[in-house]
Amino acid sequence: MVLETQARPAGAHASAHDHAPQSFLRRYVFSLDHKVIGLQYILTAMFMALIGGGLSALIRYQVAWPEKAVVSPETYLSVVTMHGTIMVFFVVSLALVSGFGNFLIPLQIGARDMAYPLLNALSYWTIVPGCLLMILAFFVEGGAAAAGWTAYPPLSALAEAVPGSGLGQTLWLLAMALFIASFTMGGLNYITTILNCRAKGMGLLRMPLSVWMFFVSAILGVLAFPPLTAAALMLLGDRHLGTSFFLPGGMVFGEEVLAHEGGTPLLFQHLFWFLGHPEVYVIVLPAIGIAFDVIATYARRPPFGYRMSVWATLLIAFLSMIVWGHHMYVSGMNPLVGEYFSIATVSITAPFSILGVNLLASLWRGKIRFTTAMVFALGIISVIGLGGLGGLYLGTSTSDIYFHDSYFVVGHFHLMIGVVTLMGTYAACYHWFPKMFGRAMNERLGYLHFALTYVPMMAVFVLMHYQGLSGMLRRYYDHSIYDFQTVGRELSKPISYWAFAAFAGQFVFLANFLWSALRGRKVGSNPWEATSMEWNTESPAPHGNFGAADPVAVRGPYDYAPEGSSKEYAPQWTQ
Amino acid sequence: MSPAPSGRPADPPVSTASGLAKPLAALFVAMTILVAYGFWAKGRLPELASQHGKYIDNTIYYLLVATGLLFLAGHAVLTWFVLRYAGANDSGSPHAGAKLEKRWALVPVLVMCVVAEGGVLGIGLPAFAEVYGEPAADAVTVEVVGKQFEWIVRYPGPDGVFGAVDHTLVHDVRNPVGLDKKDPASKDDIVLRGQLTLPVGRQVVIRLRALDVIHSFTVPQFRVKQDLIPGFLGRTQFVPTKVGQYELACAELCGLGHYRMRGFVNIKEEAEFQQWLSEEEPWF
Amino acid sequence: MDAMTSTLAPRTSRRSAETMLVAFLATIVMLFAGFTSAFLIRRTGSDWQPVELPRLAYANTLVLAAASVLLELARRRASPGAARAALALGLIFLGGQVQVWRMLSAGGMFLSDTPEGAFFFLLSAVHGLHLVGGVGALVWLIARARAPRLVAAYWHFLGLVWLYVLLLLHFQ
Repeated sequence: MVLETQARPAGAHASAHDHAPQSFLRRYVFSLDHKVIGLQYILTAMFMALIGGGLSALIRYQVAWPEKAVVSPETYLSVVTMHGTIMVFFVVSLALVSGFGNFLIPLQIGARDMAYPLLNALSYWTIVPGCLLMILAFFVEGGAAAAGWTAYPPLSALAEAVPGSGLGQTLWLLAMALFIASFTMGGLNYITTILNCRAKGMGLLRMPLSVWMFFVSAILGVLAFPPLTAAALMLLGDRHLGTSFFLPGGMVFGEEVLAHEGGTPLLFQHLFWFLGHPEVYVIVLPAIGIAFDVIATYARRPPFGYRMSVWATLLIAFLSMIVWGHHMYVSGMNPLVGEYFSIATVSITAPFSILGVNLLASLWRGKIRFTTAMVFALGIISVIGLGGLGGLYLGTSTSDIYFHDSYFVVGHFHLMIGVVTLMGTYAACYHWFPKMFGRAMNERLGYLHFALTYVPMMAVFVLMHYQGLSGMLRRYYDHSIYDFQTVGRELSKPISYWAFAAFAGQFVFLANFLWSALRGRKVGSNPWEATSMEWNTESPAPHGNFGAADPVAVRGPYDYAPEGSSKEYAPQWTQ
Repeated sequence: MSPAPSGRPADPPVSTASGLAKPLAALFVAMTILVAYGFWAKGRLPELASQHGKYIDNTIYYLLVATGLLFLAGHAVLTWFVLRYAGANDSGSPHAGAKLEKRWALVPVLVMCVVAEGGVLGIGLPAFAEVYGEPAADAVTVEVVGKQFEWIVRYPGPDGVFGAVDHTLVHDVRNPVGLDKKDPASKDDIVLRGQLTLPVGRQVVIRLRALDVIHSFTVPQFRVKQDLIPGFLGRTQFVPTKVGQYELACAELCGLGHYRMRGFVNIKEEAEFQQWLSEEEPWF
Repeated sequence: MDAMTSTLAPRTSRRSAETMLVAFLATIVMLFAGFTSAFLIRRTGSDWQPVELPRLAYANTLVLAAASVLLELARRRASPGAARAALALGLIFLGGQVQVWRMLSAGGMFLSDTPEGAFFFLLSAVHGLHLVGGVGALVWLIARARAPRLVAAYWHFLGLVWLYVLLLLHFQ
């Protein structure tokens, strides 16, 4: 059976939660079990990834062969917009934060489920119509939203400005409202569960770093999303109720001057990026937390600087909320304000590099086992060590004048919130597959998958940095009109070939995942000889997570090579 | 160690697969070399044709060197660790102690404070001040209006004053910027489509307006980029240093024609520029 | 909250509900903080004209305050009558808000007419929606004959938010 959710005998979980055997629908579809819900999120993210990835293939085809005009300019802008929106929210956030967060948190803190299982299920079923609306948008009149994932007004407010700003943008806004509602429900549940439902002996500083990262990510998310909600509501007002929050007077389309008056387009940018910047940390921090867990398990040593990493993460979260203006250096914002944002933005490199150094130092004097999960975690260190540095060029306001809206930006953010997060998701899949399915994924296929992911994706996005240096601009349907973009264009075809290779490589993972779920090598409760609490139960983890007695944390989560002991590792739960 | 297994044989020990250490290390080394080589070979900025641009270029070169060294160092350590600590080895206890962990937290903080923050404060910000500071007294002032999908250029004419505009008067053919005839200052304004002519060696101040959505004025060789926000009068300034023709592009998504919003900036010698300006007819 | 917290022991269940509420209130604060910054920036717009809010808007505040007092009574004395009365007042408040909107609309000071009218509508609508949730929760409690504790705190909070909104629009 895929997931063990059979009813247990009365003493099996120490709570008043007994039920008769459930129908297929209650067990696997409308389940309240966090593991099922987590898996639902992950599978939904995989489906949306096929769409998001397909859209990226279309982008690369158009950019590298503009003379073929495989899509029209309208369609191209919708493709670019929806690719970004779907990938950030409906793939990466869904898989990492909602999917693995849900699956892991109760298991890792020794709880039997989330504090509010019904709310948890509700958060998932709220996202499903969100996904459907995003897809539906492609088929309505005017097509899907086409103002970029950033949706700046006036472009996003007026159907006269671009076709996608008709019904398509409305559907986008509604889908985002559903996403925000879903994320908020989930985030509140995570915060409540982590603060109140930890097992006996599981102090906050005995939680694995992955849980810390989900915790901080949830706090960041629930605090940062509301201003975007406010902006979305005001944008809906400007679009449908005749208000002028973001729309100034005097806008001319054709011969018509629109009736709006007094609004400020920049206001939307401030509200959007107030969420937008923390959002990237919301999705990157869990990937880093997962990397710490995976590295500890397969290097057979505790992560270097656990406490420092916790403090650094809290500092990153705080700082991330006061630096959003670095997306707006050339927007006409007051230059003094820009100078402040530059100083603040670059200060984040300090705690962030603490995390990077700690990840690396967690290999020092280890005894590395090169499993697929570990190889992906090592790849994460490499990608952060490159992509993170690229951020300096953009955070420094002076150089950003040159790089803003160029392919340098595209290369940078894809490395950090595309490749790092994706590799984190994969490392999590390979590592925790036994807890989900009681089986292991195929390692050889895993190594092949790593090669087909790390190499092509690094190629694509590093080459884009070079394009940016040469001045090539983003969101362009066709670069060939300009002489100055000729140099950058030389790299477009190689990038597209590498991108197709990367896309194809992901099917190796998909095949491995699906086949192994059904026929993979069966494994026991702790096949990787790990120490954290989720390994204190069968594989797959049963309904109610742990046996009859509530689990107790006797030591920290990473007691590998315990001092003064002949044992090679000491799990968190054993006396 | 694990709770009651269901009659299944114990899991085999996890293979170290240490045969992968060398190929993985080689992969990281190859990647590092290729990336570094790529920046060296392909990391060419376009020719520089403005005065303040050298500050921007200096910032970029400084970062290329600084981040390049950090990148190389980080990957060197990663590669070394992958090789040295593969599988079972005799390296000793991995327990570092709180002091060592604090010290190694301090290292990246100090490095970043010096490299990153120092770069921003020392090299970056003075340039930022130049770009946004007070314009020179003898600066040439021009207005660029962005609309879907072209650039309209306006000169104030001999009176040096830009005439009033009224958007209800905008007509694509007859009056692209909406010049208000009733204002006497409008009579000598010069309006051109897609062609911006400027003198070399003198500061140029460009007023930026947008008729419909947000656009962004950029000429890569001048290292200039500034958004045009509807409802606002924006401004950018620079000193062109090389005679020639350059392309003007839009750097903020503005709709279907964003990719073909091409204009031209013609930098002429001062005398030629004055000659050209005197020969241009006012719009009305 | 039974069905939702069935995996938790009673003390944990109580604490969880409190954590949940505090975190949720934090998100509402951030939502109104976003609106506030938008309001402060939009105020500098060329077309800003102060709007005089109808007296009813202010009177409505007293309705909400009374509801809060009654909820406190319901909480401390476990009085079902007080809870029901508070519910009625909440509904009267919501009705009052709709009436205020109609008055503003008739006076040409609403939504698309003026920016301050637009803000008033938006802020009072968002507040009202949250209060609808509070009404729903109170109905649920009354149906189960349970004294309001966290729901009372939620209503008090929304009362403070409403006061804030009113003062923000009054003193611009």
